[in-house]
Amino acid sequence: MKSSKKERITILGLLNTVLLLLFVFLCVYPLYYIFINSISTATEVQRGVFLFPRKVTLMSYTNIKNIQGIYSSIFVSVARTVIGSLITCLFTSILAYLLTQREMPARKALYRFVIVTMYINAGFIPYYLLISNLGLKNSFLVYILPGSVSAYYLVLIKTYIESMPLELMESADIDGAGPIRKFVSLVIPLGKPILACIITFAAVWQWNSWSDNLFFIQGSKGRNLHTLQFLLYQNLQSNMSAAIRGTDSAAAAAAIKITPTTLRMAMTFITVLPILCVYPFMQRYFTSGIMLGAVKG
Amino acid sequence: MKRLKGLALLLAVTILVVAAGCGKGSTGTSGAETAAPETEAAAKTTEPASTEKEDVGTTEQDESEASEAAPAVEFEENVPLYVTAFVGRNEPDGIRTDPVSKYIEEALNIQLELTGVIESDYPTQLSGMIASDELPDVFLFSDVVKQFPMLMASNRLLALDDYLEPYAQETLDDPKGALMIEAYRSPATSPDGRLYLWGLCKGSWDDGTLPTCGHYIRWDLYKEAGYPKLETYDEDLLDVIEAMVEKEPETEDGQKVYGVGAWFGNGQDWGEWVFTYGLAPQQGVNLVNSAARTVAVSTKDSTPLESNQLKDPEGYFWRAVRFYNRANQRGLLDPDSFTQASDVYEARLYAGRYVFNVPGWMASGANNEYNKTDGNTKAFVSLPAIGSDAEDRFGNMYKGERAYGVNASTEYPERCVALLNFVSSYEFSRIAWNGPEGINWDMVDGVPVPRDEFLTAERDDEFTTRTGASVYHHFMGYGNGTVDPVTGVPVDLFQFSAKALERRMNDTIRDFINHYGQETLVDVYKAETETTTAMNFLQFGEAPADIQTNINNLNAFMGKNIFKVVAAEDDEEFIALRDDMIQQMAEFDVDGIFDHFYTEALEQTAEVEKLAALAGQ
Amino acid sequence: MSNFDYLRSKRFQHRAYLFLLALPFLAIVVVFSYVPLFGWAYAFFDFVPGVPLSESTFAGLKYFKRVFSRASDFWAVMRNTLGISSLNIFFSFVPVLFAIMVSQLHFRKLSRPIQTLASIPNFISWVLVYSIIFMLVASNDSALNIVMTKIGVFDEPYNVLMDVEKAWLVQVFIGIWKNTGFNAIIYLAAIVGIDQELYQAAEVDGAGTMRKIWHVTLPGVVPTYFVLLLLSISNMLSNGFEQFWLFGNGMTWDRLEVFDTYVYRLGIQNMEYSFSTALGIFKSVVSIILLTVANSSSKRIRGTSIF
Repeated sequence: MKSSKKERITILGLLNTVLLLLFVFLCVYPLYYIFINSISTATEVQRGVFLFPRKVTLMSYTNIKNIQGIYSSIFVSVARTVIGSLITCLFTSILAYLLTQREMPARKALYRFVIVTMYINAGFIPYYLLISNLGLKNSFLVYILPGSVSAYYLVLIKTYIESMPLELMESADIDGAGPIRKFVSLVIPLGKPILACIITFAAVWQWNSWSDNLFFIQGSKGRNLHTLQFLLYQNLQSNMSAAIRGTDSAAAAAAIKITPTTLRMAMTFITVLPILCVYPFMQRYFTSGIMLGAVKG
Repeated sequence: MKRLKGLALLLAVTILVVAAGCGKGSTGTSGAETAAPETEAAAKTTEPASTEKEDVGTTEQDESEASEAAPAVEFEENVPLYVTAFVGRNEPDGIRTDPVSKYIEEALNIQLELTGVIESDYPTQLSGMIASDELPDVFLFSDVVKQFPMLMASNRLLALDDYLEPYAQETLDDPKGALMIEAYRSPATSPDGRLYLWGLCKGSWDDGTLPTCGHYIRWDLYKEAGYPKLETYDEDLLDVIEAMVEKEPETEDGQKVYGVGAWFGNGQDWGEWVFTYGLAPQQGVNLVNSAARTVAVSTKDSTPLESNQLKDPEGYFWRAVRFYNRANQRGLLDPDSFTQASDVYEARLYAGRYVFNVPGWMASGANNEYNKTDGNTKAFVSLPAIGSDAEDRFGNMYKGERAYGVNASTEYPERCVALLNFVSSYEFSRIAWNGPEGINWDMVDGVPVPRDEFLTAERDDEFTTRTGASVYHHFMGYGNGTVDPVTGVPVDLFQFSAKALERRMNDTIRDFINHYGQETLVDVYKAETETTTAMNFLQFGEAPADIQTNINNLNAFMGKNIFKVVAAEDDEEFIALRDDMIQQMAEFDVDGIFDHFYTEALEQTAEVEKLAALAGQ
Repeated sequence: MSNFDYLRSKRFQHRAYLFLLALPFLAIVVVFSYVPLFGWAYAFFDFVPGVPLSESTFAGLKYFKRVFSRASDFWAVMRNTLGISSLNIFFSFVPVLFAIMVSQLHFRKLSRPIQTLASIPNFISWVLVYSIIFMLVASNDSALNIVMTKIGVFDEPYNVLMDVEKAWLVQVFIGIWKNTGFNAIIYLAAIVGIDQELYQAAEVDGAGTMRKIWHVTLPGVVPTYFVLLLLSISNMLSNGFEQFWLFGNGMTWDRLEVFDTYVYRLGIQNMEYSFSTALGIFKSVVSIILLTVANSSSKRIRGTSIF
């Protein structure tokens, strides 16, 4: 940190910067492209809108704004994202930590028991029966509970914890601190980068999910539990079927796939934007070390 | 320290309790109800406030409507009815607020809990509902051939026969209704001769002027090219397309015009649509999709063609493939066809980059787009059959395009049948398409006339919810082009009333009508085409498992290879690739597939005659 | 007597306490992942939703035999699946490289924005990725083709999505573009977690940038990398459904049909529940075998096993 300003940039450093900026351009331009296309008319989009929007129209955005229940769905989506990602991170990291404890009975077997869940998938019908029998249909918990312990995140957290400096753990052991105390006073502060990572992963996943809504929230009972992504998905689908109104079975079976691309672009833009706004706050935790000048020279 | 420990245990216990509590819910079937009391309460407090106001104006009108249209049977008790249908999703599921929903609710004294289906996800959703015994009272089949046997096997379907006379007399009295019922009772569908399925969307999706699949050409360019000879599909049509492209090699904003485009980018299934529907229906034949297109059926008299279409190099399927190959060879096929999806195809069509097109709904979309320019003369017109005396144009969905069933364990079977009967009428169909009388349309001397603002309105969710127009687009008796015998006007006034047709008329279309020496568009087709009420009375069920496996594999094989044949660089290569494919089809027992369906078709001869007689053919 | 002593011993109580703490979380795993496995029974019956298994016909291994029956198709799908997965594994170093490059950035203030912006593609749905690539790169009217034909690099427009020979590579590169920024997060977290003293020690030894990366940064990242590598080896049969369903077109479909689209097509689209369950079981078994093999060879090669 202290010396960084004085250092001169090496050729390698310059190359590094240029390459990264080039890659970033490849990543940012598509979003810009999505934006300028989402505010251009469909005919112009077909002609190709590459640099600036043409024949600006906010139709796609008005369409989204007019979806019934869109504002309450934002609330539901934010709630499931915040609660869901925190719970997933908390539950998974506690279990991961417990599985690193040498005193944990059968810990290797238990670890494998959890890992295997990444590879087993029973299919839709048994899962539907399960959710239905648990009474999770038309309940907010259906967004939270099923993903609350994730094998994949567990592996990542456990790997991280195991690479943390052991001496600290052991010294805490000597103090006679219990596992919960150690989790709170050691794992949470030292594991901040990984926990921030997991929260980010889980939050993005929660924010983008809609199929649990589609299958498990239905009718009047679920009316106030719809998520933003689901309403957008549904709107997109009904726009497709509106496009094919008046077709016979031959057409209907196939034509359902007609896609109003500009609408999809507008939807993408408004769902990506919040992620990009919140992201830097989480990022603090997993890139802070870099900012401190982890690697000098 | 102690507190932390306590907290941890508390957390652990809470989770276990939650899990256990959820487990308890599972013993009763009402698990879902116990889990969501808070959300229901929340719904009650917020919902009516926002929706009631809008209704005040419309419900009053409905009442007078409803009393007129009320079914013969009066229901005294108000009951909730759960319905899953392919309807508009302009509002969230549950109780809808649009005037058509209110109209139904009042006529039948029900609370209509309506779920709109997203078709692509519905098969999965339905399998879940069947397995967990959570079927609604009335529900849609998205794939009758597959789902009907499934529901019969689990005894989930109510036989409707006993309820017909008391609750569905109007449908029995309607000849088309009676035909639909008879068709679903025929042995090809019903295992015991009873009625388990109810068809909606009978009649036609168009009035003959906008067939779902047709040979649409830009008539303005055809006229400009001096009406070149157009008597054969395989030769003349390509010459005509070339001549038209010469007249307009570029669009106004300088984009290259191709003759023909396609969406082979959707390679897995729907990219092949143009081969299945691009020629056969225009020549009075339908390729049977469930038979992997091996079997073709004449739409004149429902007889199956003797040759296996997939193996016949001069059959309808391969002729359509050859058409696209030749277009490609002559540089008339947009090279992006191989990788673009249908949305891009549609956008390019709207931009005027193709002079030939097959899907009817896209042609009408393109015309609407062109008509946005003042003094527009660009127009796609569907040609009468080329080089054939028959055509599947005035489609007649005698069974109804959509099938619905009633849950065997419904508490209110009478109400379910009454509902199906109620929505089956011509009158309800008109209301379903246009909303209740007095909002978008009025009765003038016994003829329904759309209001001007209806024809120009921006049809967004708000409009749909306020007027109810086309919310029930696949939950009503008749498709929008079906002519109501009482009024003589098709039920969809927005698309097919005289006023609507007049709005779409322009010099190009007038020229087309004059060219054939007729008065109206419909007249042209009626004069040129012999079969005007083509019906296919054959009903194919699911094939036995081993044949079905072969069909699936054959379809996969077609999807992987057929487009390479289109891309062949010359006729020689085309023939070699085609013949090679035909040879390889033996691997999937293509003959066995054909034989199975062909035999099944022949076995139905008596049944077909019976239905044809009922239909008055 | 001694048993009783053990039960009262501090060690036992500690262990029991640990287990008790883990129990609720394990219960969640059991309920949501293991309980639905009763559905695997469907693969052995002619299962029809709504009909209890007691009333269904027992099918034995019929559906498993069918997985392999149409040999040519199945093996073509496997060739594509494993080929694409191997390429993906080959390029799995890219996010690591990206993370290291970001950590080495001379202009440190740029590192966060770069990392944020590079993760954008991850948030764009596959449907849109397809249309963007079509419009920008592939189509005859795409920005790339317009520019390239104008400056004479291409004689005629080149549609990369039609290139059968490069079909796998193209998809792998699209995947890299989409995932690198976001997947790098986990490696950045690992780099942040590296003990700073290690760097200082290396500096004292006079190590330059490259040597520090080699001796300090890389070893710090490797455990995470290997864990993820093992996971992707065991996940070789999952290339994802959407990408290939959308990008596969008339010309490239026989190169891009992968296991996930195969299952969708044969099992789900055709509503063959027993068959799709059988395919699911097959995939699970293969994945677990791959994981076990990879794990034990990691033990042999690196001396540590991960699971």
